[in-house]
Amino acid sequence: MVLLKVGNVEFSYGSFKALKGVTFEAREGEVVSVVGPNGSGKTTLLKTLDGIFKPLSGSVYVDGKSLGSMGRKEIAKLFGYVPQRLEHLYPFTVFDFVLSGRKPYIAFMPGGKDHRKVFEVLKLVNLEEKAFKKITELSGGELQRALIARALVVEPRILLLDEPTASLDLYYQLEVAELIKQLARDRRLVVVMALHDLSLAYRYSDKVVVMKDGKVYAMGSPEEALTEEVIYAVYGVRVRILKDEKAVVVAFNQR
Amino acid sequence: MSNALRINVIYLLLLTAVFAFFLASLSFGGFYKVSLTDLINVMGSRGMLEDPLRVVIDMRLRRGLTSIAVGAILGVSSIALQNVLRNPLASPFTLGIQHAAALGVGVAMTAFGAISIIGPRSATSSTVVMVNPYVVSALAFAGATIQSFLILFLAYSVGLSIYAVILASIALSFASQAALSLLQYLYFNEVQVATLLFWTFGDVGRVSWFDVWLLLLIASAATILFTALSMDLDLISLGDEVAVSSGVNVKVVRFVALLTSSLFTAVSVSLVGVIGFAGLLASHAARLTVGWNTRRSVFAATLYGSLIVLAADFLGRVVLNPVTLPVGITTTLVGVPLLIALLLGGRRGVAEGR
Ligand SMILES: Nc1ncnc2c1ncn2[C@@H]1O[C@H](COP(=O)(O)OP(=O)(O)O)[C@@H](O)[C@H]1O
Ligand SMILES: [Mg+2]
Repeated sequence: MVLLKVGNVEFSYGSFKALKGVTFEAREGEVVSVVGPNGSGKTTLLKTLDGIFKPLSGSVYVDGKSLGSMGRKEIAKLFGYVPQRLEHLYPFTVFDFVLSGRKPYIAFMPGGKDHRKVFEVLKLVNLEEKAFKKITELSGGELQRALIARALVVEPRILLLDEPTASLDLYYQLEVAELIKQLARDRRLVVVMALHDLSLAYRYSDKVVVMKDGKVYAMGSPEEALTEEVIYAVYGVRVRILKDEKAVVVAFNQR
Repeated sequence: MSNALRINVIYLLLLTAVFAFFLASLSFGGFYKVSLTDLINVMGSRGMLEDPLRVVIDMRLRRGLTSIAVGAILGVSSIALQNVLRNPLASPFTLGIQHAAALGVGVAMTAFGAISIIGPRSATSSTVVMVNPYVVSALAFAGATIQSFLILFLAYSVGLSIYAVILASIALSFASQAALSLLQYLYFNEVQVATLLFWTFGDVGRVSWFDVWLLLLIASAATILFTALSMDLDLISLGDEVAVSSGVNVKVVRFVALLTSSLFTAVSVSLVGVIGFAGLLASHAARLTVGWNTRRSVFAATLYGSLIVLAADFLGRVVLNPVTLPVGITTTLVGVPLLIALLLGGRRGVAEGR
């Protein structure tokens, strides 16, 4: 079933057009990777999906209902958002930090159910032992998993991740990618993630959206969207697609 | 959870300390020593009102309760301001909100004749009577609100760093003080000047029972309000987009928190004057001991604030007995080194947000 539909979305920062007629859709359980060079509009797209930015024209639909017709709380219950990085980091405990994600369900004070959900997601991302550590004392990988737990604790139907593997070493890149894939399958989530690593996109997505200058340049299954030609056109870099390894490697000879 | 236990023990210790200082401030400081049995006797009996002991106790009760209320107001307002401005150095004092409110009081005194002074014509024994307390509070509130939103403008529209915001606020509070001095120089007689001095140094000893109840009511309202907003305040400290993404109406919460903390501060300033650093001290003590969680630090800041103002007033009365120091002088003497330490240690310590 199609859960998320993005219809001809435009967005500007002042007079600068950052999204131009972006259109795609995603089914329950699908992982969609958004790739493209720096400044191509990936972060802007995720923030528009989450309703942080209102589209200038066009609409985002969840289950056929436009975000424009929903309240802030309703949107917050549908989407879990993992930002590229936290601009402001204060010494919250991991527990309190993840609990803050339950906000759309909490009117006055968090209750027993909220506490149970926090432990549930901490277990899922393997961070139970660090529950009462301060987030300022976590490693990059631990903080990334705390951010994912924070996005999951609201039990969203759509998970948005902005370069979730960027600050991780090889081992955790794979672990986080596996976790995301498994969450999409088990919880029937739509996952939309911005990615830098084209091999991860090739390997872990059901659909790839290639962005260039705020427009969708190519879209489809990894094999369809991530071709040597598309990547050269978008990044200006020659690559080889290794079908067997499901990997995208930079060509040694760039001519 | 041993974490929860540790925090409850801290609350308990703080409550005990507040209670102990409250009793101590009823018993000592000044000419009379009041023993616990005296206290119980006088409170229990409906004896003659002229009983000097009764008068002393009545006066010290008002002092003690005022200290508790004002400390709580300044403590929780500091926490709220720090979160909505994402500035750990923020407080009604360091942002110049208290001085702006004091300027409002000065304007009320000159332009509206809202205050008159009765009794012996000396600054220490005369009683201040507000002919029109609403004008005094309204102008104090106006001053405080203008200052708060000026700071919001400097932090967001101009984009000053957290340190630059504090420096700009300190500069603005110099401007408030200079304007106040100008008013004094131009329009005040010497008794008015002496009276206004108590507003610039803060004194908990001149309030009526009505004021005491008002301050206690405001302290409770502030604690309840910021507890109710605690999760929104937590989220705003993590960034506006994170907060919006979790369904917080950031603009409304920021507006409400700034406006109400200006109001709470203005009422406290119009009744007891400028008590410097009590809020900043209380909020940092709270965050160091119970952590960054706003719900817990609001509650702890209430207790630390009460404790700090009670202790400062107590010290101000016993150290140079029979001379009584205004409580604001004592808190400032303790607070200045803290602010300097926070500015110096900013790169590593609690002051750094990143
Ligand atoms: N707050 C902003 N104000 C103005 N321009 C912005 C802002 N944020 C991003 N941009 C611009 O919008 C474009 C897309 O940015 P972004 O969505 O962050 O790209 P990506 O995440 O793909 O690197 C870039 O050209 C960037 O400079
Ligand atoms: Mg980006």
